[in-house]
Amino acid sequence: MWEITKKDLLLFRKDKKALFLSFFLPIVLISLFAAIYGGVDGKAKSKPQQISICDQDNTSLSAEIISNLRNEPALEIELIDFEEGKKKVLSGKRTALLCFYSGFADSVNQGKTAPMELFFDDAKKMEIGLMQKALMSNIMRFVGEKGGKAHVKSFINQKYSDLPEEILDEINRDIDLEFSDKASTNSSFNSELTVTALSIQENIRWGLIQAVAGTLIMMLLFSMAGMGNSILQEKENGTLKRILFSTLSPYSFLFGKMLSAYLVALLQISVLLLFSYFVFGLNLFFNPFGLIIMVLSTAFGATAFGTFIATLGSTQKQVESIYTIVIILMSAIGGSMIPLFLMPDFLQKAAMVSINYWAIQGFYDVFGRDNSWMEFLIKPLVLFGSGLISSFFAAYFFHRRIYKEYK
Amino acid sequence: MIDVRNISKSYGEIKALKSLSLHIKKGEFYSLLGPNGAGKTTCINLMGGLMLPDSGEIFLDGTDIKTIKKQTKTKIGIVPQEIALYSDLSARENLLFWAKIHRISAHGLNEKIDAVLNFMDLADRSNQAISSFSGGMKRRINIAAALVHNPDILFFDEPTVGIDPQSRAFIYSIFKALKDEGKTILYTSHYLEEVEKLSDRIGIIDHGEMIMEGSFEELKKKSGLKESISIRFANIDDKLIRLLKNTPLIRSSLALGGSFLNEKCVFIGNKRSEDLSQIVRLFADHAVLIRQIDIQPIDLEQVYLCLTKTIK
Repeated sequence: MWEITKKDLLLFRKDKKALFLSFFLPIVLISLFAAIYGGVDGKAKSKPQQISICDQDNTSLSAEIISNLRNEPALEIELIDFEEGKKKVLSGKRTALLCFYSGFADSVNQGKTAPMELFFDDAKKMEIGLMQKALMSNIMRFVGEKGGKAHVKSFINQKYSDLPEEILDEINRDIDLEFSDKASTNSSFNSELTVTALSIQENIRWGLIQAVAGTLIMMLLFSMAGMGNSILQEKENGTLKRILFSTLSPYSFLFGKMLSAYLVALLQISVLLLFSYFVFGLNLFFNPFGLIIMVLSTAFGATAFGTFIATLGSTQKQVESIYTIVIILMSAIGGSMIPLFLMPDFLQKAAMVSINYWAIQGFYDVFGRDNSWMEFLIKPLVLFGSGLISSFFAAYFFHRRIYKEYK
Repeated sequence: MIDVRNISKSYGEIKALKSLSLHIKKGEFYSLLGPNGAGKTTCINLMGGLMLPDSGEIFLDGTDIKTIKKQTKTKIGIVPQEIALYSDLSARENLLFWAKIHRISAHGLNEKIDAVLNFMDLADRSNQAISSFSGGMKRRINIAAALVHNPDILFFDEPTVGIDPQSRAFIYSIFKALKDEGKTILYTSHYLEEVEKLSDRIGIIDHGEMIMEGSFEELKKKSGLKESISIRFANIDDKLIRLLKNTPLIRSSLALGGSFLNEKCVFIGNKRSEDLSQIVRLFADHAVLIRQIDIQPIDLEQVYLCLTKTIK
């Protein structure tokens, strides 16, 4: 029995893939998820929510509130014109727009409902939920305090108008002191924040878009890994050697394989999108031309990347290990597995190196965001660009690591 | 047709070929023999233009392999050791693919494929996936893939490995037909009986060097071997075999490629009558009873073993 155990342990030690899957991959994933859910050392900072503020009131009260919001670490404030602010929210560049309308300070001072409104990106409902607390507690501290005092003073002055002026002044001073810290906690004040979701069209299903785009790109990468791996399969079963004896050049072989993978990728994306259209009602016609560009660029980026990875290893087993870790990592940080806003700032920045990130952001644009063509085109261009770079390195490593073995 | 001049090839520190030269005439069936790792496959890879030699020159039909054009490459067909085909595709789909990458025009292609399938006796299985084929059928379709573009030069790298005698006999008939068609063939195999029957000339290489080259008769002459004497014993044990193996007579036979296993001893020598009398005396001296004696003409296997052992 001991001999069997010893033999199995020896085989396990020699099986690099088993070692990798048993130890290295779990360590990497644990580290990644630990970073996502709160930081490895507990010091990782969440990315501040980017809020635009439109101050149409232009009073000392609105300026004081804005100044206070600027000191809130969870928020990143930008002052902006109303229409421009709405545009930024609709294009996904800002999470929300907070507007202090004209008469805001007057209303607060008179204890009336303060005219202010929070517009948010309908695609970021979950983010708004998390951000609203920080926003509300800051605004309400000022609005509640001023509005509350004004409300009580007005009531006292009316009710006891026959009292001497010096006694009323004394009462007003007491009110100022008494309500300086407590007002924000008092719910009876007449100050509300109107919250409005902004969306270019009604009934855009952002959750569905996230699910479809995220899953689509992750599964596409897995398929392309299989297609890429067939290069090594051809090497191992001898067909590559036989092909190289023919009139076909090594690069015709490589790019021929890439082309077939690309066509499969186009088919796969099309099938998944059509499935989402017919079964879940995903609107494919919000920006059909943009959607075509996204499908073409995503397929190219994923295909070239899959081929590039295939050329890094000498055997199928080696490459399978590389694929597993790269795809899981890219999907995790790129937004396929976990929405980006849940991640710390550094991971949100790191997401930009993944194909998943650009594909998901591009699909968001073509399914419901109000971005200009220039702003949208950056995403497919990055995907095409990364595809070209991957193709170049795929050709380089194919020649260096695979074809050269026959030379 | 194929002219190889002083080619050398190394893989890192390992010298696979050392200044090897050979010449194969048009329509000739040339067999390259050698133990595993002797350099046969490297030689084929170089002649097929898959790789370039470190030094030396190779001319295919008068064209230097370094400047080989696609047109010349279509003249070559290769049958590798592996079943280098797509097992999930049918026989016809495979042949279609291999024909197309050899730039065969679509016009009349189906007829050409039918002809090759008929030639290989696979017409009735043409639409079935290769994965469902027997070992012998896989070998046949592996050869068919090299014939579909009708090349003038064929390289067979151990094409009959691991198949049953019936399939080997069929493939042997295919080689014979190809030879009769006038194809120029370079053939490597460990089945020396086939090589002996098919080859116009044979080259024996070892450690990347050409040991000897010529027709079977020429090689036989060069080896100096005449006949083999095969003796079967009635009563012999391992202890006695070990003892007899140390006698000068048997030692010299073993050195020339003879064998002594269990109850059978094969002597190889070049002086039949003297050898036979000495052998009989040797066993009589050790009280070993001889049950049967066969005297056979020397075959290629014995010549090959003799040459590779003695020259080493």
